[in-house]
Amino acid sequence: MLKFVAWRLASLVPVMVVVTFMVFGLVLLIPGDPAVRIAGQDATVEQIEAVRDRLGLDDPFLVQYADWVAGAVQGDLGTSLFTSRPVAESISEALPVTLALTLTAIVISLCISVPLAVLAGLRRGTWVDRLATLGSSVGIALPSFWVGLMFVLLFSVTLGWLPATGYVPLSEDPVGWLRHIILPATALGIAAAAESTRQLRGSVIEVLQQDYVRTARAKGLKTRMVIGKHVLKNASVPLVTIIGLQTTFLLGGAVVVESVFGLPGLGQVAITAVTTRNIPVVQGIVLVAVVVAMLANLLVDLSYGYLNPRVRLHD
Amino acid sequence: MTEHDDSRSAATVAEPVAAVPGTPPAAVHGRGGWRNFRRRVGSNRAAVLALGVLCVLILIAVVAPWITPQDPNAQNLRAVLVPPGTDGYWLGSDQLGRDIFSRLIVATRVSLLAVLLAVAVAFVAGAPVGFLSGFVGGRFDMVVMRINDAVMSFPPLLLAIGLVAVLGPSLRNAMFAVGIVFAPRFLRLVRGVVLGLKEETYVEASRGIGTSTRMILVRHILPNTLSPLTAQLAVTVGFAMLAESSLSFLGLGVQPPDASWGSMIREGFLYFYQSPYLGIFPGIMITIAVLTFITLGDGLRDALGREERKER
Amino acid sequence: MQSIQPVTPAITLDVQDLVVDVLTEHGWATVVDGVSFTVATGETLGIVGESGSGKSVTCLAIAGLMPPRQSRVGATALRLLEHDLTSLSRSEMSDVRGRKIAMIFQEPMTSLNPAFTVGDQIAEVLRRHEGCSRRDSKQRATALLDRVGVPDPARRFTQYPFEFSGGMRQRVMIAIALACRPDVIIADEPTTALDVTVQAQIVELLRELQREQGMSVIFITHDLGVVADVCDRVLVMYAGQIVEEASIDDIFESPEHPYTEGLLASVPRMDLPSSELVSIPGQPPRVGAMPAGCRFHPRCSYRRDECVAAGTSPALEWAGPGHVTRCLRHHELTLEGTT
Repeated sequence: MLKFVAWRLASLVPVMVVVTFMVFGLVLLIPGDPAVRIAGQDATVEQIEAVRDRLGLDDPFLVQYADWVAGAVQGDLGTSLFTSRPVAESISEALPVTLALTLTAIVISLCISVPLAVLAGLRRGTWVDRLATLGSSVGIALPSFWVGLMFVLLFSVTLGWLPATGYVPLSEDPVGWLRHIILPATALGIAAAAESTRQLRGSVIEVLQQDYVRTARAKGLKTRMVIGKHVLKNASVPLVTIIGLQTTFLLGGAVVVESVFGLPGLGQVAITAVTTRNIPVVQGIVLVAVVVAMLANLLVDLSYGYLNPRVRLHD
Repeated sequence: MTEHDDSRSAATVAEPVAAVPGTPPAAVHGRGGWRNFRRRVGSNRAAVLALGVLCVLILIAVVAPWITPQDPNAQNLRAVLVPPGTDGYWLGSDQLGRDIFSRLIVATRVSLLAVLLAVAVAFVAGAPVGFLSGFVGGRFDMVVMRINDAVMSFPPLLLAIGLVAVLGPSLRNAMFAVGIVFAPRFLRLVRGVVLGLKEETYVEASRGIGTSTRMILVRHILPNTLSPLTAQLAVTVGFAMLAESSLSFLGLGVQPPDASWGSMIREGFLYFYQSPYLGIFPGIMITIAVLTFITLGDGLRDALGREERKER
Repeated sequence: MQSIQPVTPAITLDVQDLVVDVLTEHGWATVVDGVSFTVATGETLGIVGESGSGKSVTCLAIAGLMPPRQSRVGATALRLLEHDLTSLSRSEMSDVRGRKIAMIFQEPMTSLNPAFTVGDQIAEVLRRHEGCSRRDSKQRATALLDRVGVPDPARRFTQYPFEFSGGMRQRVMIAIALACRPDVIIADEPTTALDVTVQAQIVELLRELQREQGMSVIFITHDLGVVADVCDRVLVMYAGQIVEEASIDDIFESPEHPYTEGLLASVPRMDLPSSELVSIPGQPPRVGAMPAGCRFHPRCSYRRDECVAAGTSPALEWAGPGHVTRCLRHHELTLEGTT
């Protein structure tokens, strides 16, 4: 098992090299002189020179890259262009919010999709099944930020049940946290739920036809046990792949949903940075997001070992 | 939303092509196969419905300038934020008194053109590289696939935001960014098909009798990538539309006074408490359009799958 | 080896007029048509027939394992000891399954769940029916593995099915079936998927266990050779019906149905060159397309007009003590058995 983890970590290295290169290389894409573009049209020569100096734009590209990566490895992502605040600091403040949102979205997505998919798979061809299939098609097509708006309209403005904006950290007030996170997380999780339902329904149907399910029933196990233990564990294998991909996707989606609900996450930081062309901050956020996504996928890979014993024993 | 399994469909495409002695290989997957394929799509009711909706959307986009009841950019400060159903404003007006219905029509054109651009970028950036990568193989293929893996490990929307940050917010830049984000799908798909076909006996055979490499490409590989690519294109257009609307919602895509569905929701969001319905209709349009493209893509892929099964 | 029938056999399982319909593309079709039999305590009953004759469906139906929406099961009586199986709810039926009536299936390679350890799959039966604690159930499951001849049971307990050979997996299936000391074990072609040498070992194991525990066994197979080895009595099924029932001696020495004769002739024999192996011409009828009259007549070499003319399939008739057949001509025919 340890060998498997080590091997997976090692295989991330070449991808990480390319990723960091791409993130840093974003600067190269800036049309014209980056220093002029970043400092702004009305900047004085001194200001432009200051930017050039601070970003090390006169060094050869590879030197700049090496400096940046060396810093990043030690947790130094440079400083903001305008406030000279360390980028890592603003990110570490905002990241927990985005992580909480993404994670809650996945949990909600599973709470919706697992029962729905199992029910649809068991009652194949009935109205429950048809409704679940139709619902999952529509769910995938819903823009999450719009769903968020509609939630605010319904639950905050019309019914007044939940707050429309703001955030309370979990450590301060768990109930308040839940009240603030539930709408954005559901809005973000609906598309994921739709896709998981679709995937899981298919694998439940497939697993139900397996001989070992008949064996489980022949043992006299209760239906709850047959489905919850024997069917679900095997049907989860493809679902887990999907969840890995979804985590990557949802981290991006979270940025948009955050701006609907005014959550102080990476999205807020990113949008401000993009509109002010605060390139070091943008680079930092993108890099952190990729690393988080990669770690999430690593976790997912490890859970294969639990679901499929073959993987565990052969590596 | 996340990756649809390209590699699997690519593999099934490659498998069942059997060499028929005496017949030209192109006939195996040539016109007959394509016609069959179209017929199978036709038997899927959801896909047919989606095709119908798509035609309507395209029609609206094409004739948009001539069918808007009002000038979509004409402001009327005496009829600001009027509710739907008000005389002359079927779906109400926005914060500048512009007719929502007319703006929705024009936005259809903007949104469709935008995603077409994005998917074209994705296709052009992905397909030829995948084709080469699969055909050349070896170290080149390895390097390409590493880069591809790296691009796919980015959260798609964040990569797009990063690109827009350096390029500057505009619809064109946003669509370029979305295109780059979706390019790996095409790269992987085409590479998979090419790799599978390279092993096929009939490609080997025609190389044996001295057909030039270019002929092999044109006669065998291109036709075989066509059907899975069509399916992938449709699905990608759907997801690109979600990405476009997200970026425009964040103000990184379409810039005022132009409108796409996403940017209309943005305006609706800004005036949410005065008139919440501003954002409702564009959201419905996005959902319908995305659903249309994804259903179409699924229909195409199912038709493909069935075709392959039957041949086997 | 034939064992002697007890003088007054106690009945463990009593099946009367079992009918099973399944839903096909063309609507409901009857696949088991009025099957009746009893199994005495400690007896081994063989059910023989080609695939599609309804022998597996019969047993799945008895155990309540037919899929609810795609099948209908009816019987005038279905009794297992004191339980009237027809009156049990689904949950009550699941209390009986695995505890009083256990099953062993044909495909050891796919009948065990790949995601759980072998030990857990045995132990969970004990936990389900006997309320064992985790530790007790582990101990008993290990003992069971040992009993069915799995070497190094403590280590094997924690392994997964893919680490077992086909024969070893079938031993595990037997251990699962045996766990709660059931009154009846239904073994549905338990050796078909195995190598010949392994087949013999599994058959021997089942025979041993049956003798040791005194349970009843229903042994489904299409292999009459195996039947001769293990069974006391045999039912021959064809096209959803019983066509002959007799003791093991009678069926081999003096079959009373042409189909049985055909089956006997198709058993490979050591004393004859393999070229003389005979098989029954033609195919069994398809579900939902039963021939009029005797269902076997299209393939029967003794067929007369009367076999078809009746329109319905002939009734079971006595052909001797404990011997019934569904052939109109059994009085006039002298069919060839093996000795």
